[in-house]
Amino acid sequence: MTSGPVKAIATLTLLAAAIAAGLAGLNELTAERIAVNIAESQAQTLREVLPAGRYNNVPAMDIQQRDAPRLAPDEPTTIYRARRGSQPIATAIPVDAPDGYVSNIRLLVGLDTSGVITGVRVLEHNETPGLGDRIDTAKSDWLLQFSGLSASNPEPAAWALSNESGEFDQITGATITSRAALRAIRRVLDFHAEQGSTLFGATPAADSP
Amino acid sequence: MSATTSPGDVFRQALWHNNAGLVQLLGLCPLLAVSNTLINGLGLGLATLFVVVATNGLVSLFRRWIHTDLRLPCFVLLIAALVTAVELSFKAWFFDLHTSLGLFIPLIVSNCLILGRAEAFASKQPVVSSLIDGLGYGLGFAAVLITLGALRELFGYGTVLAGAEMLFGPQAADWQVTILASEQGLILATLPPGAFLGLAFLVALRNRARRNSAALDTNASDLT
Repeated sequence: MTSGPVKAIATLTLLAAAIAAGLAGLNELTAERIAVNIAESQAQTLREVLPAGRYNNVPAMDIQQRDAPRLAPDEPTTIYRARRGSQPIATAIPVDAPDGYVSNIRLLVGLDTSGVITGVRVLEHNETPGLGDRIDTAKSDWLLQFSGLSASNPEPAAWALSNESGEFDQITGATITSRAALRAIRRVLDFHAEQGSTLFGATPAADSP
Repeated sequence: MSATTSPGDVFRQALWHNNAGLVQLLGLCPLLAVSNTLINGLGLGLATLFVVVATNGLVSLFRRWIHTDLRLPCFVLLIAALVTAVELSFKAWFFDLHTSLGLFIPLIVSNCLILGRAEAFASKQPVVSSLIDGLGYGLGFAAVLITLGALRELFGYGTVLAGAEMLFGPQAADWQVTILASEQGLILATLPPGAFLGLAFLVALRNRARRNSAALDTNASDLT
């Protein structure tokens, strides 16, 4: 083996260049598939929270950006809209629950135009396996009980966990997780009640005079 | 390691006598974190297997060109490239499994098992032996991940093979076997302490098996 720093550096540079070229090729090969997978996974969640069969647009493409600190403190919220022709049908609104047991829980809440919940799903969570992870509909049905409810059904005072004299049983062993999710859903209901039809406008309400 | 070591010995050493998970206790971070279900363990096991075999092969192939003083940067570069390739492939073809394994695919880079085999074996041995060595260590590590994953899934959730469709496609969705149909599994098994206890149990079992076989065959040559 001949030595010398020049040869050593040349080898390393060549190796790095060859690797970069190989990975660029693989990236080229997979980029489209990966983009399709991400879009498909998002569309699947949207289908689950929006009322099936009642809309005919592509909600993932019909979006509105909003600054809503109550829903997501740091970044604008992307609201997905479902329509039948030009008629508004429902919205899907993501919300952060920073008061989860482990960390932030991100939910997607679907609501029709009258404010009735059409579905709730978890987008992201790190809750304890076996306890708080029952927030995920793949693990338990807890989150499904909110479908069909609205800000006035049950009455506002009952929108709480049963140990706070509300109407909802908490997930066993995961009171904090349950409370965080419940409160996040309530924040979406309040937001929807305040904003109403402006959610279907072409531009965010903040832009109007 | 002597130059006369046969391929069979290389493989047995790698798979059993020096098993990465149970004897060398290398790569514990992914081993403990991702062994919560059988399918997660299998997914990470296959990914690690591919990276360790490919790294060993390439390092051995290029061992004469790689300058001794710069071998570690070269090895790390190679490993990082292979892991990136695995990451992209999983995202493209096993998207749900990629979501489920999360950060632990990129973290394969930091699995000391892989750099260890490149440095200790592949940089000095011919390609075929290096591939066999990588295969043995990779399979050994995957076997521990799968066994620990199956045990933790069984005790924690009462199922085996949940989520098989993430790896094997939609037709595998009904492979799941529910053995204990209880709402409340043994939560401990799904939490980090359960991973440590499970691994300790497997290490103890292996030590016992090893002692028994040594007692039976007093002529067994201990190659470690």
